[in-house]
Amino acid sequence: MSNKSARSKADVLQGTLDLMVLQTLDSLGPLHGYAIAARLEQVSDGALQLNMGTLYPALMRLEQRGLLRGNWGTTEANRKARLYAVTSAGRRQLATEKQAWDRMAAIIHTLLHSEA
Amino acid sequence: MRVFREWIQRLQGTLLPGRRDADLEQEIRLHMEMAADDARRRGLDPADAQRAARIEAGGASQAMDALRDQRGLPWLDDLARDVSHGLRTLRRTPVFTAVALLTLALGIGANTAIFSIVNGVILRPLKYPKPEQLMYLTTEFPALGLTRNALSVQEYLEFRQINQSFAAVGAYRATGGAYTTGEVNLAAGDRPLRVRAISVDAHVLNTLGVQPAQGRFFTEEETDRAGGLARQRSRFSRTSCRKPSWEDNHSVDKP
Repeated sequence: MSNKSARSKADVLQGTLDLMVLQTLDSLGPLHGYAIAARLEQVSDGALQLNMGTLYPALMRLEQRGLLRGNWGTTEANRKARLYAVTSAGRRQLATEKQAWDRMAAIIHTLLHSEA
Repeated sequence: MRVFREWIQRLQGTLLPGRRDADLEQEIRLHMEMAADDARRRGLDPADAQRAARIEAGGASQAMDALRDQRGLPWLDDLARDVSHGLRTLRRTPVFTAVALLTLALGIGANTAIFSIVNGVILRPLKYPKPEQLMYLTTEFPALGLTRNALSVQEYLEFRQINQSFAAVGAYRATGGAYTTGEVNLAAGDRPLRVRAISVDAHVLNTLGVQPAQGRFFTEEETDRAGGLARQRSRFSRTSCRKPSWEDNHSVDKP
């Protein structure tokens, strides 16, 4: 059966993970899974260490939803890899999710830091 | 909509996996290799680098499990596996299978038969006004141990006189009588019909509230005057009527 811990971790991250992956691919262009994980680790100063059991199912889910498209290709280091690119539906989804995130973040910020 | 698409894809993934295990495994393996390369670049020796990569990236077999679950519908896979296992087991034990199938078939058959009877006789109400008020009157002879006996004409007439419990009481005679066997030929019209027949008095028709399809029924006065069942029956067959039966509600509307 499936790995429970990988699952529950994915559940916690799911909402934001999709957003992070879409944003990363949208700004950096097609990447393979490892590069996505490395990028997220880098921008989070090592706080975000995605394990494969979380990352790849998420990529597959996004692909199944038609937000990403994955194809085998070669990296700059001339290595075979499955490269993921955002589809136009993915870009639309990213825009909506970004907006929703900003709104929610603003609300939370106001709530937590308002003096009154 | 997107989620719906995901499920369609997953259903497809269960039936005909687009990405084979080998394809997924390769992606995982390449991820591990790149993680190990990175660790080596950070200055670890190859063995340590591999261990570091494993720790950082998580277990490959766990990732594969999670991927397989995401690819298809795990419960559908499990169901298919269970069904095929069940079928294999059944094939190995033909006697047990036969007995089990027979038991099931008999059970279902008996159930259906009983239900159709219960449904027709008990559950489905008679198609007369206030069917719950209709009663079937019989006599008893406790000394002889007889119950549910039909009333004689005299008993019936007396009961009609003393009756205070029922709004209306009528009498009928179904089979074995002098004038009908329960079925008669209705010969008028284009072609003869074999119809179920019953000798009744006018009170039965009033009690049941049935209306003739054509013509009119005989009246209570006519019943009283005729005094016998023969005349009633002959009138009855001349005026065709809506058939008062719950088993077969089609109306005999040939004149």
